[in-house]
Amino acid sequence: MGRKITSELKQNIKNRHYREDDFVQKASIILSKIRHELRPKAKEIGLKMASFSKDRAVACLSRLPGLITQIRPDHQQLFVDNALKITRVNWKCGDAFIRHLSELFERVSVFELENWVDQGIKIAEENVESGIAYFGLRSATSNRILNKLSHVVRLAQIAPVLKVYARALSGKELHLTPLSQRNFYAIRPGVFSYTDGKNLFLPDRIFSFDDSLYNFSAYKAYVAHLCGYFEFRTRDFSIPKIFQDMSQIKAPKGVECEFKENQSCFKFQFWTRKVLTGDNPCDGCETIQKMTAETLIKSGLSGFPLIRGFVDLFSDQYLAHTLFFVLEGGRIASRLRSVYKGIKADIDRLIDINLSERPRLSNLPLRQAAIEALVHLCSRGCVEEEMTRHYSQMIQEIAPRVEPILAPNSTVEDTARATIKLYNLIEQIPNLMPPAVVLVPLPENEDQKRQTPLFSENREILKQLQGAEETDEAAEKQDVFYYDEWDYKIQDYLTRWCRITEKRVVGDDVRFVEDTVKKHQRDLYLIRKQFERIRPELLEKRKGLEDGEEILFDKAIERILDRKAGRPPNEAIYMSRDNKNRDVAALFLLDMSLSTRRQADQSSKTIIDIEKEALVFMAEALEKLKDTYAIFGFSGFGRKNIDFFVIKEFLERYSITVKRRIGAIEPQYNTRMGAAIRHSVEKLKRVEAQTKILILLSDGRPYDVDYSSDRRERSAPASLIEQSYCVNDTMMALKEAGNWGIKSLCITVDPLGDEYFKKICNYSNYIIIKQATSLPGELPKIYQNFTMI
Amino acid sequence: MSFQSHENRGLSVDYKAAVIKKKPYYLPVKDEIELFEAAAKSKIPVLLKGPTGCGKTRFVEYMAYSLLRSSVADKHNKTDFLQNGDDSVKRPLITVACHEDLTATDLVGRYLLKDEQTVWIDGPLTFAVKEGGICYLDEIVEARKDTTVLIHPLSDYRRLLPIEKKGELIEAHEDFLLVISYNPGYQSVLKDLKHSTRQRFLSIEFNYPGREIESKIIAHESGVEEQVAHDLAKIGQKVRNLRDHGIHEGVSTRLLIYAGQLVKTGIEKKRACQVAITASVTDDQIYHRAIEEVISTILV
Repeated sequence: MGRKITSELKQNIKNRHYREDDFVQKASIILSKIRHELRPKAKEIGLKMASFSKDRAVACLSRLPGLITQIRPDHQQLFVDNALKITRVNWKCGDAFIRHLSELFERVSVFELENWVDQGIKIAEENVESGIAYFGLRSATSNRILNKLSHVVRLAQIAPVLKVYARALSGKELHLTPLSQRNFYAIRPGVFSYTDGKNLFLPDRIFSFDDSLYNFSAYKAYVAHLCGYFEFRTRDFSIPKIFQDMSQIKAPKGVECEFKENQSCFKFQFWTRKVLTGDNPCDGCETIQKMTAETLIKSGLSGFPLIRGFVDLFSDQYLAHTLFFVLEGGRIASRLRSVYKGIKADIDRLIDINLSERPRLSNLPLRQAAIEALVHLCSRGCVEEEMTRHYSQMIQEIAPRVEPILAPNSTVEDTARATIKLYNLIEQIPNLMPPAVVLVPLPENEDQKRQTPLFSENREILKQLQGAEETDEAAEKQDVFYYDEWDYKIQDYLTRWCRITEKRVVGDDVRFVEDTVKKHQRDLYLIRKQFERIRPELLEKRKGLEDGEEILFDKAIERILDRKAGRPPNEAIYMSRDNKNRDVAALFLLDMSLSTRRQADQSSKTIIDIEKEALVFMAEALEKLKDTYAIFGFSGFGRKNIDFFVIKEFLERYSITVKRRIGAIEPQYNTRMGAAIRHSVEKLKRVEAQTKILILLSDGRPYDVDYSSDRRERSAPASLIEQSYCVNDTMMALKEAGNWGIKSLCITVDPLGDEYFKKICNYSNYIIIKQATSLPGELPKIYQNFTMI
Repeated sequence: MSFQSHENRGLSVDYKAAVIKKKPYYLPVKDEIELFEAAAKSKIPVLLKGPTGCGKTRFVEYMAYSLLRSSVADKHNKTDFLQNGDDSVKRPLITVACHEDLTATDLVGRYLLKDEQTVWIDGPLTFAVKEGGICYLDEIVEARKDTTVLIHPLSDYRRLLPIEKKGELIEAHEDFLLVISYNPGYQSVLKDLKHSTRQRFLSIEFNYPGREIESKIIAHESGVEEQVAHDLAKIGQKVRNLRDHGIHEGVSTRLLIYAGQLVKTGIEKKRACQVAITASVTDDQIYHRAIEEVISTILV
């Protein structure tokens, strides 16, 4: 068989001088792994590609056997037909298709794929570049069609809705973080996900159900459950409360006295550890109830690290952590079911699907089986019949301890009590196996390597659950956003191509603004006066109305005379003052690229300093005009690293903090304008104003490392500007702004700005300031003219 | 009872219609009733601050009704009044819904031409100042600045209303009380009450009632079952978590009552919430969808 394939291939290879034998040999081996009836078409795919690139053909063919095995046998033929169909149109399209098949299979079935393939072929026949982008899943059209066909729900698609949903349920600003972004792998305790108090960790995608609505509901159930940790007060954990009504746990003799004499955390912790782990016999002990909350607080234990501290008390912290979170997850689910009736079905469906994927009890060692039974009891309230048959005694022991946490008004202290009781029970079960929760950190640096696997991450989670978000206020605030980018070559958007990180500029020096104000006192005074004069225009007198505030006496006399003379009187004798609203929201977007570091004209000032001065002038003037305004800066290095610096948000006042931020503006990297404009448009869309303006201050043409189709683009002559990737994207971004009713104005200090801005926008939408140093004085005037009613 | 200024032009105030005859339903949240009574007794003007639809207007109606009855009961035979509901007692509630075109003329009054003569017609404020009663300027920040300045001499110890066009200075009636309301978070930072105005009033802050009280209000006003009212109050509470995080205003108690009323008439619960809550609080598609998910989380 192998020999036959080889000879067939040899006959078909025309380009014999190029590693012919090597290709034939490799292709033969690959094809022999493919089912006989699929082989001819697979071979044709290989040959088609080999006629252009044998290396690519081998690489592509080598993927086929593995991919085919992922498909149901009765669908395999259809798949190969599709791959061949695409390759016949263009081998690069076929190559792109095969390379992205794994991703495609996660989103759609082979049947659903056919429609997508047909549409892609039409596109490829018109424009090969567009076709390659389409089958390589880069184009927006491709992703849009796939999304329509797919039942897979991805976190990235629905994150905006889920984030608002989480905010509504919890009342907190929580981030939705894909589990893949964590630097450790986690086998989650129980069937739910987890939170560190700031982030809700969610699967990157869910395709457990054949219906996308059910998959979305699964996400919703995850989020509702995680928000339950806030609503049902997991964070309000109180150790003293746990011991109320726990008379069965007794302290050893003399401990109370010792505690009073040595009021130290260590003593208490040591003693409690002994009690909890049963290292010390408790016969004839005083009850722990005597350790009242009051005593504990007085003794300086009020800052006892809550859940972490609780888990720390146990000798087997893996086990304690697992038990606590399995029980707490069950408690939250139970409370959610009773409080939020609408989500009960979604939670039950999620539990069922997740339980079905968990190991069977019969395959597990005894202790792990006990934990697995606990997972079932906590999440569903019962266990399967098979479990009861094999482990009836164990389940009879566990079930009563779980009951309190499933009660309607259960608290986190109930969970802690149940944890203690179950810990003492399960710890005694022999046949100790690896714990149910394995947190394996991916070593990033030496410090991390030194930490023990559980505690490096676990302590962090627990610490944050205990309210670290309040103490972490100084941390730099960051948000991540994704935007499409326009590729003029394929005449389509590349989806989620740019990653923007919103950062708040941190500054501690207000001197720059103060010095600017001081230095330009007179200019600023004149500008302020000029802007103040705009305000009185806001009330407009309208005369000759039939109804109004005041009577116009001339008109009234005329009316009387008309009546006396028998003429029809003119009733329009009133005057009114109407509001002529100036409802303007302006967003200033500052280019903070590295080129702004250069000195301007003959001046000793750098471009960035001049831009900053201009912002100060503008802010001082706008404070008089009362227009709503915001200031942002942008820079970046590559499409995934675009920084969007917040200097002043729309609702922020022009405070000392904002002044400090202006002072702290520094040149950064490159100028990826399109993404920054799109993000600014999103900001402006959320502001209510009749007139919305985007003012871009730049010093050169858009440029970034991967923001062009050609490395030479940056220095391309004016004649090639039309074919510039970044210029086309910027143009498209400004067009998008226009579609949202946002007026844009680009102001540049680049004397050559005319070359590219005439392509990017209309003549009326850009201004070149030939002498950069005049920008501060010119900007308010430009603004006034641009926003004149 | 309620006046839109433009409707009021050329009309004298219908005094009888301005007297509240039926006791409005109002559930106190804190000590607002005691505070208002004390302010009325001391003739201190009152500023009601709170988000839209939280019950400011209803509260004023309730106070107008109860103050009327208590003051009358003091002066006359209490039993007789309570039995007969004497409408002749002059203590009406005059409400002016302020808007950006509301002028001082609209409040004070104007000359109109009638049979070749100019005739002065009192505005609602002048009427209340002369006759006594509560003048309630709703959403005062919406009115033009010259309007707010007009009430300054009326809202301090002088209790005087200058009528510039007539050259008169009217002293307020003994039973006159000026009440204004505004929503601090409304619209934009540009609209705010001037300090010179604000510092003439005793400020009572309102917010949406707690879930228990709100569900009672919804149940009473819409007539829905207790469980439905409770669920609606819960939706209200959750949607309000989005206030200032993409949604300017939280859902008001008034909208929750509307939803309850729709349910009462037989509209399906989720659909009722969709039209009364979701569509009313936002046009943003993401928020729209998220609020619908919150509703479907709470309602079966």
